[in-house]
Amino acid sequence: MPLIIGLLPFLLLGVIAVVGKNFADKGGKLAIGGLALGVMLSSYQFTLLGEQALIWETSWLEVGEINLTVGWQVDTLTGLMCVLIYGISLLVFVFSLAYMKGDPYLVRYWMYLCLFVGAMLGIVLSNNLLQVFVFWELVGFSSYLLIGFWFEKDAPARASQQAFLVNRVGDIGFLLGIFATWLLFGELNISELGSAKASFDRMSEAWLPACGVLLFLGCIGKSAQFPLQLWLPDAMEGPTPVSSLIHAATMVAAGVYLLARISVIMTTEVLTVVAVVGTLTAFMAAIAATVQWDIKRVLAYSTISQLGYMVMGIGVGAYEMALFHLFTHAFFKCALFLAAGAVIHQLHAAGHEADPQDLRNMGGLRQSMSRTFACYLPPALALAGLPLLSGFLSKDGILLGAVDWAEANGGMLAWLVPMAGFITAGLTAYYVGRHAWLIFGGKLRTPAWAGKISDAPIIMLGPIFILAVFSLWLPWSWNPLDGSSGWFIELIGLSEPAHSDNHWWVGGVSVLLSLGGIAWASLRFRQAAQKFDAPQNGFRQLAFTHFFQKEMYQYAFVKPVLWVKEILAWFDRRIVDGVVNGIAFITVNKHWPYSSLSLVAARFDAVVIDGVVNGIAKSAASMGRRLRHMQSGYLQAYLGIAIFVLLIIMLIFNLFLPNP
Amino acid sequence: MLSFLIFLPIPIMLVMALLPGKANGLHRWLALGAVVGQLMLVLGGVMLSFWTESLFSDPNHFFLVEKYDWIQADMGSFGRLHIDYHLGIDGMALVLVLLTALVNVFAVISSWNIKQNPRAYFMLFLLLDLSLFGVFCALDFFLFYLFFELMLLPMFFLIGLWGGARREYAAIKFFIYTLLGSVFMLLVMIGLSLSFLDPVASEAFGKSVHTFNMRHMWEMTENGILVNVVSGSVFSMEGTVLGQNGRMVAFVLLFIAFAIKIPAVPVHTWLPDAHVEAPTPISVVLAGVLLKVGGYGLIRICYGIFPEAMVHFSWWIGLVGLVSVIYGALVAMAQTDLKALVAYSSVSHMGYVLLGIASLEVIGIHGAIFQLFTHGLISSMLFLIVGVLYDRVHDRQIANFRGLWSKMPRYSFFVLIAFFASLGLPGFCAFVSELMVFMGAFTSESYSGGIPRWMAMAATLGILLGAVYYLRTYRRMFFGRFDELEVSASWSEKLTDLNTREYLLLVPLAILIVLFGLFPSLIVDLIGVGR
Repeated sequence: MPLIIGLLPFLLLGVIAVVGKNFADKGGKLAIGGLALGVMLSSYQFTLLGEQALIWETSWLEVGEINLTVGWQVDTLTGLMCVLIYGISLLVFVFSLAYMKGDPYLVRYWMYLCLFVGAMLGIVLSNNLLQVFVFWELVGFSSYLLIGFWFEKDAPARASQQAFLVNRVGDIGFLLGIFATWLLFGELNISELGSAKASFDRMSEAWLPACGVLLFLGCIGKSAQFPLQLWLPDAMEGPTPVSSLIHAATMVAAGVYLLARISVIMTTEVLTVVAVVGTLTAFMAAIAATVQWDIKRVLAYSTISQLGYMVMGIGVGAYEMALFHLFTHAFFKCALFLAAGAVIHQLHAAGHEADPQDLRNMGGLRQSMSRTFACYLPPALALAGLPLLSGFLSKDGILLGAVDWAEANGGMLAWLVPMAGFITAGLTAYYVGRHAWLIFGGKLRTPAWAGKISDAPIIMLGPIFILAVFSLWLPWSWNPLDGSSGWFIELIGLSEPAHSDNHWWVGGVSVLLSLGGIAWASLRFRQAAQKFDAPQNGFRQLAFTHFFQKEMYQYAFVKPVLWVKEILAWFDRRIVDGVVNGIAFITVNKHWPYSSLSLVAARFDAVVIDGVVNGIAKSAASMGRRLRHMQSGYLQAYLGIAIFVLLIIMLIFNLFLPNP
Repeated sequence: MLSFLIFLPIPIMLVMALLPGKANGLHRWLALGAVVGQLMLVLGGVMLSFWTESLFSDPNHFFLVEKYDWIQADMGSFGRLHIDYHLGIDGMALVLVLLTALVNVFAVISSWNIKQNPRAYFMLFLLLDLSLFGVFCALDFFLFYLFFELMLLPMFFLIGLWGGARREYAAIKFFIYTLLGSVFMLLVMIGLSLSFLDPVASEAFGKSVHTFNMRHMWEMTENGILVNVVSGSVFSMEGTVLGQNGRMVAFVLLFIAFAIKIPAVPVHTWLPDAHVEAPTPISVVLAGVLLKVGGYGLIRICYGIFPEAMVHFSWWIGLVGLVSVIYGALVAMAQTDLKALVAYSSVSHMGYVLLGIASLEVIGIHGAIFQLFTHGLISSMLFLIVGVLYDRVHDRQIANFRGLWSKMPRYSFFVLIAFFASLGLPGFCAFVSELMVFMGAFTSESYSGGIPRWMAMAATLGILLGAVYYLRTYRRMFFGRFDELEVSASWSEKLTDLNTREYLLLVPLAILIVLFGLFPSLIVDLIGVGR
């Protein structure tokens, strides 16, 4: 069963590659049918799951005493992830049907998406870290292909390259972490890691935290955490459904998923690092999101920020809540991206007078795109963290975990984590409010589009609507104010649900901050007309460029490497090869006094050796003709050196003879 | 069987020589027949009997052994000197024989349009083919050396006569470089024959019989004492040369000889020149098989005969490997010629072979051998890909191409596969071999102590840099709009998508690369058999 579930997308990929071009939609409906089957299969699999995880493995590569295996492991969390991946992919595929209609490279689009779904399922189904790594990189590869889908434009081409390379930095850390895990625990199976005990016969004790940090590096790359988060905003150059599926709902959550799986082998220090990195990421990205003008970049920074929350949740030990947030976020962020896609699509259809992705050109769309607005609102408010919506339940849980963690750890510094978490909650509400007001509130700011904007078609709205329903509290928990009593936590909860006294004030504060953020945004952007050319002050600049991260990396890494490669290439040509050519020059130069020996040898050579060479050459007639065109003088001289060297060596050879 | 495999081209070469030079297309069909015949023989004959022999007999020896007396000389008081005609393979050699058979078929197909004197070309090619099989099958050092030298001659002419603008320079450089290595090898070989005796023959003749038989050279007791060595000779454990331990000196000399072939930094500069100037099929053989002789020799001869020296020098060999990996990748990044880029990427990828061997771990050495195999396939594909462009417009400058994806989508697809396979994406075979090498290198410090762990960690930089140069190249050549550049736009007519012959080359290679990436045990399980 898991095998069918895992291989189905690859099968679809093959089918579409072969027959896709014969269909009007280039195999889109075929893919959708396949995914619908996948949803059914994975739901059925989920119902089959009991207490015991389904585990199967077989040998893949045996070398000496090392036996690498392949296999799967399906427990409740995996089962849920399969349903989530298939479900959201299905909705996004349906949305793409309308959004990507008429694209000249549509067959490729479906193929890449199928590759992605398959690789993503591979990550969650795999039962050992090495196999996770395999699919981890494949997911990165499909992401590369999809970001660069519109390859004829320069920006997507560059963005895809950057995404792959930045991810590879993380992947290398991950790979080294896998090796370290293997040496420390003698085990790569995820299901066994929990019970494995580190032994320090083969590696020093310092490697235990190092191993944790290296594994975390993989997550930092894939889940766009500090300091590798720069690729995600640029990844928005891909088609919007792709941003929605891969760069918001599923792939970027893979890091969090993995972190949750392996947090058992992480030491307290490593978890602190995880918490701090998550908090920093969440905070920085939220600030950047408040000043972006691109409709998708706001959401991209928001994704980074929310992923930061999840990572923080794992770091502080609120691991179920982090996963809960992963699920709720997948739905509401996917919905937001698709809604943004619908807006872009409709504005694009309205005319090419202005950039359809720039928030400054929009406004007042709640009238012309009222149904899109209705579908946009619940997920937006869920992101802002208002009660009665899913985002509140999970984010509240993470903040609560952070507060409990700070309390348990004591110390002022520890409180910085929940503090930053709260501030981020306020900032989140602010940028969500700003986003909503700029798109749907006020009046339309591009006169050329007036009257030409129509609402999105039902095939686009349907998926958003379904996702929006999942942004409400009800699908997750009966209690709209407490996520920990919901079915999700019950299902995957491994530890006892925490009954913290802090629950009520944490919830209250976060709600107040959210309301405050939205109110502030409303005040600022309610009447927003054409006054966006506000002077660029330092802070705005800093936030807009995400603290100049890209520029810093440009100077710290990219430029030096480009510089070093030129120097080395010069070194290779002039010095390494120069020495070789130099030696050749000295020994064959007629005016160099020390080369007389080689000249003597060359004379001898011209008669004997060349005679032989010519003899051979004559047998193949034209070869000889060409040989004469060669700089035969040099050839003789070179052969002369060779013979000279041989003579010397034969002298040395005498030293080797055993004394009689 | 092995003799038949090796010398199969000889009658075909004779037929070719008798045919008129203008016999249109007949030479290439003959050559194709020869290499396909060899491939069939390897798949159907050699592998089958290898398999049956390994099932029914002691797996720790060589298979398909052929041993005949060849040259025997009485050297008076010094004893006798025996050179045997001695062939045999173990798993490692079989893997490389298989690689040779595969790559040569691709090379002949890609030589299809050689216009200039096809008779001489294909005769030389078959001579090269013969010597390559011979190198991997020889068990007598003298025979090995003979085949090793024999590779040089056809290669020299194939580059020097059918190559590009600077072919003479490249050919001579290749020749001199390799000759230097050969001279070192010759030196060590003679020393070895003086130091080792054939125990059976010595008894039969009643006097000491010196031998070139490698199996006698690496025979050791369990305590690491050489069995057949002449006590006090140069390459006995106590022997000295110029005040140094003779075995250490010999190891270094042999290492230099094989490092030139691999090629390792800093003796690599012949490779980019040779590749850039060589015609496509010759580049394929050069990168696909010839470089592998270096890695093979390092394991079979350096490690086989001087294991304790290998342990002694493993740190340095690891360092050379590491430097090759990173230096090669950085210099590759700076290349403007696509073929030179692929050539330097070979330097980088062959560095992993050194790293794997230096790890002294079972998985590292298996990984190194598998890397020889995977790099053989992938670099063949890369050079064929370069050839596709060069055939059409006679230009390989990366900066002159843009937006090829919209112009040649199928071609671009295969380039994508080759590039990502080469940069080590999982699912393709290079990932597995590099993974094995890294595993060996990373664990080495904990077990055998071959190389320190930081080397493995630093070498992972190579996979990042590999991704950098391939992605940059791909973006610059295949992404963007085709009509963006005047140069490439003016080639609009010429840049047609793949033809049938090119499909015939690229499709099987792509399939093999994926097949061995998904099921590496098909090859890796062979490596450990025998010896």
